Parts: sequence; C-alpha cells; structure tokens
Amino acid sequence: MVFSSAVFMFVFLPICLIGYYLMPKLVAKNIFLLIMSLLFYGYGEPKFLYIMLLSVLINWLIGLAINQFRTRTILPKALLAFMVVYNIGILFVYKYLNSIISNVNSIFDTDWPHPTLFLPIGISFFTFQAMSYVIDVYRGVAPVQKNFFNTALYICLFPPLIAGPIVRYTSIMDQLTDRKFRFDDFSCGIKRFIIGLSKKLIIANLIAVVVDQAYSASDVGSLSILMAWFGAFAYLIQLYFDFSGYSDMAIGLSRMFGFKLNENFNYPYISKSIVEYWSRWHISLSTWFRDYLYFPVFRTLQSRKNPLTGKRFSIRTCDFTALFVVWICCGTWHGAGIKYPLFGLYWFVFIVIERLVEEHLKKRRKQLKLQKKKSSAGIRALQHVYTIFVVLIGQVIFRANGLREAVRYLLVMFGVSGSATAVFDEKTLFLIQDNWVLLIIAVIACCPVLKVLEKRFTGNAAIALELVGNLLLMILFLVCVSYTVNNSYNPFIYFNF
Amino acid sequence: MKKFHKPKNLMLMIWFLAVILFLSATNASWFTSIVKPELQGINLENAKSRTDSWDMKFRAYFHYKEKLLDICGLSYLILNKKTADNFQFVKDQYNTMQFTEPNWNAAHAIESITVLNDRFAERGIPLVYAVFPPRFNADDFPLSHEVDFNGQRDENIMNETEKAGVNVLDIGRILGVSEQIVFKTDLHMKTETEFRAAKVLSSKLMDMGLDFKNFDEIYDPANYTIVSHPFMGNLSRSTGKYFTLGIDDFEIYYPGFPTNFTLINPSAHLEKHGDFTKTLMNGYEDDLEENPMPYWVLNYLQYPSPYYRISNHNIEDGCSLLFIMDSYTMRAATFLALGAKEITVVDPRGEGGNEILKTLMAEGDFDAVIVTFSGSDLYNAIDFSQPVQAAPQADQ
Repeated sequence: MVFSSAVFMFVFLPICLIGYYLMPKLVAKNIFLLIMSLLFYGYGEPKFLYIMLLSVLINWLIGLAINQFRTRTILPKALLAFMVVYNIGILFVYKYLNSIISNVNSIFDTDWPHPTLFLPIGISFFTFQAMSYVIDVYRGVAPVQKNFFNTALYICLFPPLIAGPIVRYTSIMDQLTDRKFRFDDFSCGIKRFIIGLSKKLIIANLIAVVVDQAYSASDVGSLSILMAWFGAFAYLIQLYFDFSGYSDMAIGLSRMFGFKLNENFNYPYISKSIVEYWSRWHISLSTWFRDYLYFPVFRTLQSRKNPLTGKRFSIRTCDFTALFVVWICCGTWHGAGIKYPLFGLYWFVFIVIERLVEEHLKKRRKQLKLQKKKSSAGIRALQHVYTIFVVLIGQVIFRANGLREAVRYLLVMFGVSGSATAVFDEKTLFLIQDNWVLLIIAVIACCPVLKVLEKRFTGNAAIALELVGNLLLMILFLVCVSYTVNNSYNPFIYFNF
Repeated sequence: MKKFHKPKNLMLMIWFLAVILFLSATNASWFTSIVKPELQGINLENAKSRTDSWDMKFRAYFHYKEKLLDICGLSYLILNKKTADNFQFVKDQYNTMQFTEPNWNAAHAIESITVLNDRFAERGIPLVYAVFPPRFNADDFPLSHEVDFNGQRDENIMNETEKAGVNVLDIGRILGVSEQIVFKTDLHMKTETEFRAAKVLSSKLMDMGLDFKNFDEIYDPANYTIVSHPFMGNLSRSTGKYFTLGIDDFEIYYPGFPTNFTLINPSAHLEKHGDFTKTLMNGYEDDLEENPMPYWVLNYLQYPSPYYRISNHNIEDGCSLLFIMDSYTMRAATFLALGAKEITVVDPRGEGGNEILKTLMAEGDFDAVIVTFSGSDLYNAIDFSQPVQAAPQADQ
C-alpha cells in the first residue's frame, strides 16, 4: 500500500484516524496504531510480516538483555555483536544474496542455485531503526523499552516504515508514552501531508515520464545528447520530489497521530558542495551512518597504532578511512549489485577532494594571515553549478540499469558514444515543451522560497500569505485526489529498499 | 475564561477531513463489494495476487471519478501538458488526442493481409483491404516521425500488400486528412467520416461488379435524420473534458427510408428483427436519463462478439459480404448493410473468432471480403499456421 493510492487515502487513513481518536487512552491508541501499522505492512505481502515481527522481538529481547547485563564486560558486547550480525544478516539474505550468487556464477562460470527470495519492502529502513535502538541502549544514550508493544510500535510505525525517514529511538521514545492531542499538530500534519502528496503526484510522477523515456530506451546509444541531459536532469527532479514528498507525507501522517519526526531533507539542491549536499539529502540516513559507523570506525582507528610504523594513525587517515567505510556501506545500502558500492565510492572521492581543498585553503589563509570572507556571487554560482553537476552525474549512475548502461549513458551525454549521436531530436523538443511549466515550478520548489517569504512578511502580510498558502493547498489537495483516483501511472521507486 | 485558541490551518484541516471522509463514505459500499468476495479463501500464498488488484478496481468505478478526472485534465491544461498516462496519450496542435502504439509491426500486417487475400483468392472470392483515413497528417505532427501512433498512415504496408496482389482501397487519400474527420477524444472516426468512407467502399464494390443496391438513396445525407449527442471518448478517459478544450459531438444517422433487418449473434444467443435502429443499434439513446454520456461507438452492432450475421429483407438478390473488422468501422458496416443482401461480421480476437474465420475462409459463400482490421492486430489474432480445410470442388 502506498500513501498516494486510493485504498490508502479513502479506506485505510480514515479508518486509522477515526479508530485512533476513538480510543480512550494512550495505551489503547498505541495498540490500535500498531495493529494498523501491521495491517499496512501486511497488505499485499503478509508473508513478510513474520520477518518484521521476528526482528522486533529479537531486537527487543537483545535490548532487554543488554540492559540486564550492563555491568558485565563481555556479554553486552557479544549481544551487540549478535544483534548487528542478525540485522545485517537478514538484510544480506533478502537483499544481497541473489545478486551475489548471480555475480559469482557470472564471473566464475559456476551454477550455484538461486534461492527464491523476495525483498521485503522497507527492510532497509526498519532494520536500521531496530539497530539504532539497541545501539543506543548499549551506549546508555536511551533507556531500554521494557514494553514490547511500544518497541514494536517504534519499529513498525507505518508512516516512516517503507520509505523513511529512519527514526531514532531517542527522538521518539518520550512520545510513545506521552502524547497529547493538539489541533496545531494535527493541522500542521495535514498541511505537511498535502505538501508531500503534491510533490509526489504532481511533480515527481509527471516528470517521471521524461525519465522513463530516457532510461527505458531499448538502445541508450540511440538517445540524442539533449535527451540524455534532459533525462538526467528530470531524474534529479523526480528523485528529490518523490523521496522528499514521501518523507513529507510520513512526517505529516506521524504528526496527525501525535508523533514529531525529524526532518529528512533540507533543500539539498541549493548546496554549494557535496559535503553540504549530504547534510541536506536523506539526513536520517547520513546521520545514522555518521553516528553508528563513522564515529566508531574513527575512534577505533584513533586508538590503534599503525602496525607498519608503530605510530598512531593520523587524524586524516582515521577520517578518510572511516569515510571510505561509510560510503561503501552507504552505497551498498542503496541496492544490490556492483554499481551501488561504486556509487558510494563516487561520493567518497568528491568529499575527500573537498576536504583536502578546504584544508589547503585554510592553510593558505593562515599563511597569508587572511580572514575567511564570504565568497563573491560568481564563486557561489560556480559552487552551485559544480554541486548540481556532480550530483547529476552521480544520479545517472544510480538510475541506470547497471554499470555498463550508466557508462554508456554518460558517454551519450558528452557526445562520445562512438555511434552517430544527434544533438537533439523532435521527441526531446516535444517533451521539453510538454514539461517546461512543471520544471519551472519544480526548480522554484527546490529552493526555500516560502521560508524566505515567511521571514520577510510580517503582520497582516504574513496573515495574508498564510491564507493564500492554505487556499493553494486546498486546491492542490483536490488536484492530488483527482490524480490519485486517475492514477494509472504511479511509479514506486523504493522497491530496492 | 480560557481564550479560545484558533488552531493553525483550521480551514485546511476542515477541508482535508471533509474531502477524505466524504469520498470514503460515498465509496465505502463499492470498496466492500470488491473486497468481500476476495476475502473468502484468502491465505498467505494468494494474498498478494488478490490485494494487488483492489486499488485498480476501486479506482475504476470510484464515485465522482468523472468530476475528478475533469479536475485532473484542468490541471494538465494549466501545466501546459500535452501528454497523459505515461506518454500513452498525446494531444496534438488541434487539441485532438492521439494514442501512442509501440511495437507496431509492419511485416506482420503485410503478411496477415496477404495470406488472407491468397486464401480467399483460391476460392475465387475477391478481397479488398480498405484503409480508412489516418488520424492526422504526419507533416503537421512532426512527433509522429519518431513515435508510432495508432491510426497513422503507413505507406509501406499499403505498397507492399499491393505488390503482393492485394486490392488496396486507400480511402484516406480519397477523403483527405484533416482534424475534422476524427473525434478529438476518441480513437474512432466521426460518423460522417464513416458514412463517406462507406460510400467510397460501396462504389469500389460496384466497380468490382458486385450488386450493391440503392446506392444514391443510401448515400444521400438528406435521407437521414441526424441527431447529435455530446460525446467523450476513450482517449480522454484519464484527462476529462477540459483537457481537449471541449468534447465531441456524436452524430447518429437515422435512415428516413424503410428498412427491415435480422441480426443473429450466435455467441450471445441473440436474434433481433426490425428496422435499422432496432436491429443494428443498441438503444443507448433510450437510456439517456440513466446514462447521459454513454460510449456511443458501441451503440452499433455487436462489439466484441466474434461473429454475427445481418440479413437485409428489403434486398432479395443483392451481394453477400464478409467484413473482417474491429470496432473501427462498425458504423460504416451498417451503411453497407443497407445496400447488401447479407453482411457477415467477424472479429477474430473474440472467443472462437479465429476458428470461425478459418471455417469461413474454407466454406463461406461471399461475393467479396472486406478487411478493415488493423493489420498488426490481425496477425496477433489469427493463427495462420494451421492448415485451412480444403474448399469443396466446384463440380462435386
């Protein structure tokens, strides 16, 4: 079930809202919400419910055990290790095993059998959520949750279940047992849901047509240069508005039930560097890797000595090694197949380059005794262009059907595909004409225009702005309802997660 | 007294809840009717296959869907969109909807028409491949040079089939191509176009020596009462009536002269007797109160039945024709039925249609065969590989 479907909007959601608010006490509300979350997940794939529930049970038990034996030296560590192995294990089996067997068979010309395993939807998200809970309990950052149903509700809560954001237990633990209904929360949740729905249905789904025309061509080499670039650019738009739209809907829905989740996107396309981009894109994932992989690897290396030199590892070595590990894992998290770790490596290279350039500039400023000044408009513009260009190339790698096709696509983009490549074609010109209004709206929506307006407008102007904004959202919601009912083309891009 | 704190976004909240709850309430019984039978016998193994179709079925007959589609189309208009449904529908510069058709196979079309022609020629029955006008002029619609559309002119198919000995009637060249001959919102041609095309086809049959009766009476528009109804066709099913800046008018031609027919449809166990309106049409105009915007194209004949026969009792010794066609030329067939003794219609896509056609190819007694079917679809519908029964010898 997806949020932008008729069954969700006109069957599941009203039942969930009415049932939730009819429940007299918070305990009953939580249990009702848990049941509805399980129904949401089990709709269409009830077989995978047992995987999720088993994951909840095991992680809850491990959390209890870690808390119980906290004073022991080795047992908590062993339990933590078991938890990591178990969670990564189920991710490995369901997400990566088929692909690894295929690659081994292909490379070594073997004939290992493929297990018939389907990827349980959202497994990448709920395993990471479960892991973060147990790790936080182990670290003493979060108190253990002794109530199984509360733990289950945290892991299975339906709004962020299948496409994030990855919710940290510490951000939600108080809300599990202490939530009061506030009109403001509820209405803000609705507003956020409508914004997300509009992003997904109006912008992402419509621009997805261009992306499909570019990437589904039977021969990538037959694309014109303009189509290749247009398709790549359209994918930037589709990915952002689909993913952030889904996050907005998840945050909005959670708020309707009294849960406040952290933000997952912060206008990533206004970034001036790749480092900044990843602090604004899929924030819950990047911070997860930062807190649960980068820092542990960094600290471990920092406390060790280089076996070759006998000296401690330098800060730079610790930093870059930890970054390397994070980005290979982050890339791999995005999907099974050789292109995903390479996708992670791509970002690693640019982050390291930026770090080195920043270090060099800092050194030079120190040598010349210069203060760091705000960059000129020209430099800032170049930084934006650089960032968008690097992101665009990276997302071509991500979207293409395999590494080979990604390379071919990039070669077409730069006019070096080897075969006669037209610069533009009639179809691309038609698609540009078909989508130029949508693209202008999308580009504007990529920037924090509303935030700027809200800061500038005060008093009556602010009230008028809010009124106009709400009227627009009311219209957008009706449009979204019409798209939902019409909805013959509603791509779901999270099947890999 | 505690001051009432007006919640933020109150208007928005009320609107959201009102819309969701209203549409949920009005569609609750419809959803229940979909789900109830599916829940019986549901288990872990079949749950996915059953629930997968719920959303699609729910949306198919969603209450207020037509109004919502109009909103959808209006939003496309505001966004200056020319395409819908993942590039399946494209609006041209005349605001006429066109339908993309990937994997159009010209070789299949040529082969199927040629084989049909050869099989009937073995029995001395002439075949005419009647090519009705294309939906657009390719020079006016440059996108058609790179994307395949349904109803586009294919010179290659006509040339190759003609080279293979097929009698090709290019009705499109005779009538000319313009946006006025096709519906904006539907794949089919306007009734006036089918009327004119039927006239060209009847004239051709007469040139071939067939005994087509009352040509001048049948093809004089003054002999008909023409009634017009608003019509939104199958190409606007996901964009509503605003996207094309208006919908179509569907004209029904009621003959003003006496008519007397029998229509027999064996697969539907149906037998109709009476005049043109009673026999060859399906009475949609009598149900307008209940259904004000029916799909008028299907008000004619017996789509999608694979086989039916129309006998004209006002003609004793006229010609007998076999029509191999889809829904595209049903109205044209009714005009031809006015001047023929008998018309047999075959749509090989229908259940049993393939076998019926093969039997008719072997045994049917016709003065001519008219093929108006899209050649590529014909290839997919007919199993040409199996041998056809040998025709009885003339001296036996």
